[in-house]
Formats: sequence, structure tokens, C-alpha cells
Amino acid sequence: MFLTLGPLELRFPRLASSRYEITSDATDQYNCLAWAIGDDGSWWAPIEGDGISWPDHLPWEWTLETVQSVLATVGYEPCQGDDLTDGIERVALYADEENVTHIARQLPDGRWTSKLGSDCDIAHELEALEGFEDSPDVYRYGRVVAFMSRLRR
Amino acid sequence: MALWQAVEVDLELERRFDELVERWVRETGGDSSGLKVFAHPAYHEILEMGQAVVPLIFRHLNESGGYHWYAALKQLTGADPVPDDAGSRRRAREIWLAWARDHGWL
Repeated sequence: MFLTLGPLELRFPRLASSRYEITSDATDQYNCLAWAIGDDGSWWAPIEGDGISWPDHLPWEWTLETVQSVLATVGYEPCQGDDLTDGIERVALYADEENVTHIARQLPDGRWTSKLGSDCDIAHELEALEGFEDSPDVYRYGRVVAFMSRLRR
Repeated sequence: MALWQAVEVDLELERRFDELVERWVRETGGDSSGLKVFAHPAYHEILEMGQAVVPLIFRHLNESGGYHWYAALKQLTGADPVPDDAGSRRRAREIWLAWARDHGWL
């Protein structure tokens, strides 16, 4: 059971010139933050709805500070850079001018894995999801603004 | 209203619903925050169509896996069948579909 959202490269044009791999069907069962945390059963967001998770003590917003606080509740700490380190799991936070827009998690082989909203999971290069295109059909994740890490679980 | 008129109205409603859902999903499917999903004008136009679209929403939830329908279902039906400790969205979908069958929506 999955959603049909159309060709991925129309919505994420920079994928076309990069190396990536689709690793799941599209589904709205979980989002990027849940996927980064390791939860593929709920949507982690400050919104109303069934099957939604968000820490009770944190503000209902997607600011960098708050999203970093959400990730801190599951063991992530701020770090520098995207170097691949044995035993360490990193996440990269994308943001536009106002809010965090996306989170990707580093795989043991150095690639990054992302759940693209209600779309599919992919393994990809960080830069392939950056962009500021102004079109309703193209998603704008902005650029990577911060990294966090924790011991790999 | 004659029967043929009622069918015509229903078909028009269904056609418009399908158009709105297609646009809503296409333009918000990559939104990881949920902010664009619930702010999208197509979503709000669906809500403004009222209870008449409830069967169409349940059909979409049943046949395609659905989309972010739970808040809309709560608003349009007044029901809240999913307990806070239900856990996953997969479980929430199962509970809503069971509720729909029990209440004649499916």
C-alpha cells in the first residue's frame, strides 16, 4: 500500500545529476525526522493528528534550536562536518531562511539516507537535496546548516 | 431533486475531490515538516466541501493508503476513535477504517 507521487526527479531536480538509489515505496507513515531517529511508524512533527510524535516539553516549531533539542532527546549532540567515523551516526539538518526543512542520516558506507516527506526513502549525496527553487512542484530544502551525531545503535 | 441530478452532483463532487487530492499530494508530498501539508489551499477546499467528502476520504484511505487525513476526519465526522496510545500511523489507519465500516461510511 503506497502513495503515487510521480517521477521523483521532477520534484527533486538535483537528483538527476547525482548518484542516488530509491530504497522504499512512498508512504505517509513516517517522515524524515522519524527516519533519522530510527522510527518508521510515526510522523515526528509539531502538528495535530493521529500517529504524531513530538516531545511534550518543546515548542511547536521547526526552528533549528528546537529541532536540535528534539534530536538531543534521542542522544544526538551538535558536531562539526560530515566525516564518516566508525561507530558514530550523524544527521544533517537542512534549513531555508526560516525553519529546518529536512533531516538526513548518514549510512555506514558514507552515503546519506532520507525519507522525503510522504515520498519514498532514498540513499543519496547531501548536495542533491539542496536548493531554493521557487515552484509549487519543486521542493525547497534550502541548504545543510548543521550536523549532529551520536553513537551508532 | 431527481435521481439523475443527484448522481450528477455526486460525480462532480468526486471529480473535484480527485483533482484537489492529486494537487495536494503532488505539491506537498515532499514536505517533511507537515506545515505545507495542512496550509495548502487544496486541503482547505476539501474541508469546505463538508461531510459529503467523508466517503471519498475513507475510500482514498482504504484503497491507496491515504494521506494526511486524520485531522480532517476528526473535523468532518466529529469522531475521535484513535486512542492517544495507539502508537503507529499504521494502527491509526486500521482503527479509522474499522470505525468507518462500523458506521456505514465504507
